[in-house]
Amino acid sequence: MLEKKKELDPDTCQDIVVDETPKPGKFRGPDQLLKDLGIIGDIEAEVHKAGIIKKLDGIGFAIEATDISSGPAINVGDCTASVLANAK
Amino acid sequence: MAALALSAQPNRNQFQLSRVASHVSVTPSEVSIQVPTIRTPPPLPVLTAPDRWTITVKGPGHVKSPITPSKEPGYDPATGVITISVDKAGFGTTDPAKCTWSVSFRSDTGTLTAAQDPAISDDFALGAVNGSASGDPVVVTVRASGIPPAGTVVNDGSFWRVQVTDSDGNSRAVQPVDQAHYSFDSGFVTLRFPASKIGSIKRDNASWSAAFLPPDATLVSQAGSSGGGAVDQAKSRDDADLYLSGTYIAGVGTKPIWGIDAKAGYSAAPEKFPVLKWFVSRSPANLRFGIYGEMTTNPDTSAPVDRTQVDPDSISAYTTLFQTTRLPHNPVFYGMKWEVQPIGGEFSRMYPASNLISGGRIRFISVLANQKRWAADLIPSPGFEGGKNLNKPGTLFGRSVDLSSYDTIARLRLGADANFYLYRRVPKPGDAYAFTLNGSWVARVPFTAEPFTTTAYLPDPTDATTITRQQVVAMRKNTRHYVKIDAAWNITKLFGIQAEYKYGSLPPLFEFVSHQVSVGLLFKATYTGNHSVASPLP
Repeated sequence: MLEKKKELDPDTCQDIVVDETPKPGKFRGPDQLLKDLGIIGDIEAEVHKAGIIKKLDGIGFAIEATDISSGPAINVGDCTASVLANAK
Repeated sequence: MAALALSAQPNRNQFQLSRVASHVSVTPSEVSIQVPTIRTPPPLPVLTAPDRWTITVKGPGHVKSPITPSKEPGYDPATGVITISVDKAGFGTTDPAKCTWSVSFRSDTGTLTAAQDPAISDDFALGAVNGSASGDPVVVTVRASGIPPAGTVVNDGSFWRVQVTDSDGNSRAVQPVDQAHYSFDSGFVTLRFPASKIGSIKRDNASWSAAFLPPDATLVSQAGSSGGGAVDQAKSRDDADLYLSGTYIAGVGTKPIWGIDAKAGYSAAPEKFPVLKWFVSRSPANLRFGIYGEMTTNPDTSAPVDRTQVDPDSISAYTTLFQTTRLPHNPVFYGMKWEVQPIGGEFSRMYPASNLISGGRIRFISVLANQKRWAADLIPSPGFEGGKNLNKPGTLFGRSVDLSSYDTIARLRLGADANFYLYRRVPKPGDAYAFTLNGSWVARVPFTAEPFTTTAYLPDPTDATTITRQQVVAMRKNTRHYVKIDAAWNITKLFGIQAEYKYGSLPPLFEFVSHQVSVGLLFKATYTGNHSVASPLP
């Protein structure tokens, strides 16, 4: 019997967003900017998005890189919200 | 369904102090600060013991520091915010609100610290709203940033209003909601109510909004966090999708000249391109195909004014295939980006010199330093280039040349980029950088002899009695270096002042650039949509 796909929740999305940064151990809260976690420039943001896409793919979800908000001045919570809203 | 497997994080469930709020409350007798936290705190007797807290204050005047709390800190379990008070007397005439505050808490397992961060707003605000497409009850998540009102107000469903509009334009509002829960761990409010409250509204592709209506305020959710326009700020030429720069150039042995530097590129998943979609129905995640072109103009570069010495004067155009990968956690490299250029061209604007080139490189991204106001990364990039020369002019720069052996092209391409970022005091999406410094180095090691252009004092071709400085082309297998350092001061989001330094040579003729310095005004932007092309192989 096919198992119904579980809906994503904020905690799961935040775990993915934080885990795919270079320095997840520096996470201190949802309002923290991603630059504090190592997303210091555009190339790091590109890798961050790629990591999120691949991690979501592993749990049965897909998302476009354009739909993920990442970058040094984006906070963890807003990046999480973009993943939560756009992962299908 | 594949199981969700996240790598273990050392502080995944550990209590943390997020920061010290920027707002400081001052009364005649005491000063209070707020410290938002995440995760489950230690037992209250531990958390609220004053001797476990140390407050450090740096102010414009003399302030006694460090300070211990004047009374037990208070913890709000609904918001995760700790309120700490200290005596006002120690501040003298200094305004506590103008001081910089940091705190440390000695727990049983270690010491936690937090400081004020001007980049983070204290104001409670609502962001993107997402509603469940199916199921009963309806679950609506609302991004909530900042510090919420104290107590359980934020968890009171009667203060929340949700509106949903389906794709047919039908709309329904729900207030109150049956359940509201604010999670300070994730920064979201989760609202729940029975599906019957929205009747026949189709929840697939519906748009959601939310409002928080406590007795003394009204907060309305904002749209999602995607950029609003078609373009956004790029930090440098290499990162820009559209780039136009006017420059005033002064170099060794040159006269001042004006130039224009322009480039444009576009990429998308391979199946989005008209022809490629016949062959590819669904490409792997993060695989992109792009087209790209660039040109640097440099008027009046012909001999004998020596001005070609300060510009490689090359034009390039190519297609590219690239993929970005986040590497498993390791202390050195964060990610990897490979690029293959199936076909591309190297052209010289002033001379009939051109090559058909294929190539590729792998870029390894390493975050070297990551401080509060500045950061730096290093991106080594080994690669290769191979192809064929398309034409063999008999004369270049007014002198006859022998390019008969110039045919197959094969080069090892070694390189590295380094970036330094100085952030604005309050970085904003699309406007994060106050200053950027980018350095790149490329060494091309040809396996077959290729043209290499230098300058030499030789008899003039038109007058053998006159010795002039001329460009000379020779077929050589020497390594060709190219170094570029690019500094940009961002006056506004899209406009800035740029200084650039170049040294070395670029294909096809590898005209040597000797310590070129340029300054200019620039406009640079990236697409807010994902249409960027990988950086060219300079």
